[in-house]
Amino acid sequence: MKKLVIIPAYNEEKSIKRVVDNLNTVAPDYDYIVVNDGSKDLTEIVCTENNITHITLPMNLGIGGAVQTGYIYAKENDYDIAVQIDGDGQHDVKYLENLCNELVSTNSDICIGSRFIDKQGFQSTTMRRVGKNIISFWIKLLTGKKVTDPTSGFRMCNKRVIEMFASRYPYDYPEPETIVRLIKNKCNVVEIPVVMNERTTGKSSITPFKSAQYMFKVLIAITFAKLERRE
Amino acid sequence: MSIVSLELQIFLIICSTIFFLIVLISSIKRKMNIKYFSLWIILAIIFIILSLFPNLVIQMSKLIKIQEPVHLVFLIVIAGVLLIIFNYNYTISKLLNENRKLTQELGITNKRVSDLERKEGK
Repeated sequence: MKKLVIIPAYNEEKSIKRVVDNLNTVAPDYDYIVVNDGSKDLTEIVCTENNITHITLPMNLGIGGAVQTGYIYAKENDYDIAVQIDGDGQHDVKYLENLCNELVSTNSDICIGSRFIDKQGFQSTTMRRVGKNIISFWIKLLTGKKVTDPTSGFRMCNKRVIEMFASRYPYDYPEPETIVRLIKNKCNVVEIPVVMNERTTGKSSITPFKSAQYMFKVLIAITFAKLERRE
Repeated sequence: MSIVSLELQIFLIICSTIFFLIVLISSIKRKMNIKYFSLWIILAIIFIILSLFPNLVIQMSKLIKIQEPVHLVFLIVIAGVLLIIFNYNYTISKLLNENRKLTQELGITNKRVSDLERKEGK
């Protein structure tokens, strides 16, 4: 089984090497691809010098565009399983095995690593958890499915979902929207508990200032995802 | 009886004709995509008609019961501008999508090329 780890990286010159080294040690059976999303720092040079497999996008597309590039790469190279992790060490690769086992044993299409099942480790700020609960509630209302961590970027998916993501993936804050679209298209979504680290370097792509805008956009996006036709 | 003075009317006719010519010439010279030509040329023709026959505005505003004829002129212009802006937004979204696709393909192709070059030991 060919397995690919997609690592979107925007200005991650300090952490990208550590993330990749860690991945190679902990999960050597996984291939990986770093998608350098038009970084303005030395990410590109760090990748080339350390022989890190990477795709450099000539301009910054944002997280959605970068991750989708990984899925297109996975599709073109015929991977069976793809998982995305952050380029800043937030996601612990020791959980890859759990994600994979759960995905295969339950015959699911996507498996999400959730911070909020066991409620351990970095739990994010109160405000964000409130926002997350609203999104969870809204998804439950629209689809009838309980997703405890709809904004988690730590997700593993099978070939069917790789192809869906390669052909269509939202620009910004893609996670909740894609979950709704997957459920609507009768994909099996499962969650397993994971512990996430607080980010070590770099900045979160979501600043508190943009939170309200974020909530508004996400709720609209998932509603539309529910209303549109099946693919 | 006309609502505009002759001087103003001549001025308006000149302005709308110049506008019409600008639209026409930029389309003929292919500076503007033919797709957007129709939108602007319709607007230009409307301007010319209104400057030639300002009484049309009075009659039309009576027809739909607008008190001040000038409000009808504003309404037409604002509606036209909104339509054009919406059209722009639509086009920009489409361009963004196409741009994203191109960027992704370029990144992947670049990787392939450099992998091949390395394989051949260049």
